[in-house]
Amino acid sequence: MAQEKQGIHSGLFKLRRARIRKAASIVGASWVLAFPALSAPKAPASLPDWGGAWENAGAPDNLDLFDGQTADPPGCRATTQPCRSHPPLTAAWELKYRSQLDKTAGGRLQPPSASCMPRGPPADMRTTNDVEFVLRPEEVWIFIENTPLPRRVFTDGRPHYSGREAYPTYAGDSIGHWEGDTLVVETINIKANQIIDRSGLELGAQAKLVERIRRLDKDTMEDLFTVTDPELLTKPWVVRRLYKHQPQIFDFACAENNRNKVNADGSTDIRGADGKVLSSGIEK
Amino acid sequence: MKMSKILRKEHLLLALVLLAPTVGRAASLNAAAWAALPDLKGQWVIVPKAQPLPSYNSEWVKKRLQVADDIKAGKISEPVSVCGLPVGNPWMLSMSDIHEWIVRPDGVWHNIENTGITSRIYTDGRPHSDADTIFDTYTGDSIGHWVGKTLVSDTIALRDDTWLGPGALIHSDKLHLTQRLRKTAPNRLEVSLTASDPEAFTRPWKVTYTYRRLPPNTRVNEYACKILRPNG
Repeated sequence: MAQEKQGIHSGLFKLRRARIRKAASIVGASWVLAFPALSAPKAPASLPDWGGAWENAGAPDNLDLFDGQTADPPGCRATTQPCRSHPPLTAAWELKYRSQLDKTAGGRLQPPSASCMPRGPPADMRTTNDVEFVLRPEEVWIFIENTPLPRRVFTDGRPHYSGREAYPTYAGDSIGHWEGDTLVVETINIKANQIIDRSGLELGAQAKLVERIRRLDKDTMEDLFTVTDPELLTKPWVVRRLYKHQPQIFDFACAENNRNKVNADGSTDIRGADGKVLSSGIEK
Repeated sequence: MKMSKILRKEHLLLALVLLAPTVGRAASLNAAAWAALPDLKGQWVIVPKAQPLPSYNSEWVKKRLQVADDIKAGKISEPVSVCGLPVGNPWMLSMSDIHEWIVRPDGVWHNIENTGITSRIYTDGRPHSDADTIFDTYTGDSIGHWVGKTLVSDTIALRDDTWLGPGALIHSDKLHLTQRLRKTAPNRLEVSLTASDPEAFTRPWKVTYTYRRLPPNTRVNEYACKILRPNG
């Protein structure tokens, strides 16, 4: 199966938790001010240089968990339970998260991306492999190496979709504006109950994502996420993620080397590494 | 203060003001470079048209017939029918549904709605990836440059298990593509493609694809192949 590729990134960007929490509290308090009146598109030559590709950076817990800053226990891998993060969940969603963690521990939680389904934000901004930002005045495209689903951030001053056009999608409905060289993105209408990290955490239908994306230096991009969701969270949830510069992004072929060949009758086989059939005629 | 000193100071200030927008950015991303680009904004769809078959040599005619037989027998699948595998270049040029060409001074991103893949043509002056690092991919290694408002691009390092288009249009790993992309009218776009494959073709395959621009702000939908074909 095409599982998410693992990368070894320990040693990169050791996040200083205390400083991040401080930054998070400031952003959390001011998140409501994130969307002033929409501004005119930036002139093309004044767009910042975000060229190349940007690889998710951080300790392994930060790659497995969307919120690696609250990894419990610190440094854990979601594939070896117990391992969770601590978003400010409501009691109902805490119960739901625990149920998801039980499934993860029992190997019963398969993320949709493992079967080549699309993956939207914020899950796609957490994956291993690279992210690419393609900037034009009217729109910013965020291409994710690990899923064939681009994010579209309209920066031409349009509002969110309304009426019949306002429906949930994997990538959601994103509009953005520039504050200097920081791209501020607001995303709503993200499909509910999509797993956003390897521990099994999900967002609700009311989730709203505000991101402040900027280039910190030659080698580093920062995405500061503020998630709000009255059903899911007791207060805004702030997550900071860093990305390390890479020269180039490549094609992603999710189903390459997939040994679960489809038989003529529509069933599939599970094969071992040696190609021998372990279990035949399943999932007809 | 002497007039000559004032003038020198003013010249310095003027130079700083003129240089300010380019500080920290590649020189090729300046306003003049952006202004020289054609307007390819928005969404495009291909205008269907019958295309000639490549001129295969006798060995590859046999290979192609074998592929067709294997598909009929269910031994292999058409590349486009496998969820999670990109169709790659040049098939993506003739795919149905929406095409976008995102044009910047440093590159052109060709993105298609159907299968959701992106081909990148770098126009920042870089050469092809060098022999030590290049490897075959679905979309290949593409570089290009602008001749007036025409994008001339060159693609190498393509995998040999993709097709040129539907109908078992197979090729070898020697496939080499050149494209000329230009607008022929405000809302018409043309891509002239030359595909050379000295191992499989007796002469280069030349086709021209035409696209029409859709109304402004046409929504590009998401592609979730597995919803319809859970076993695909």
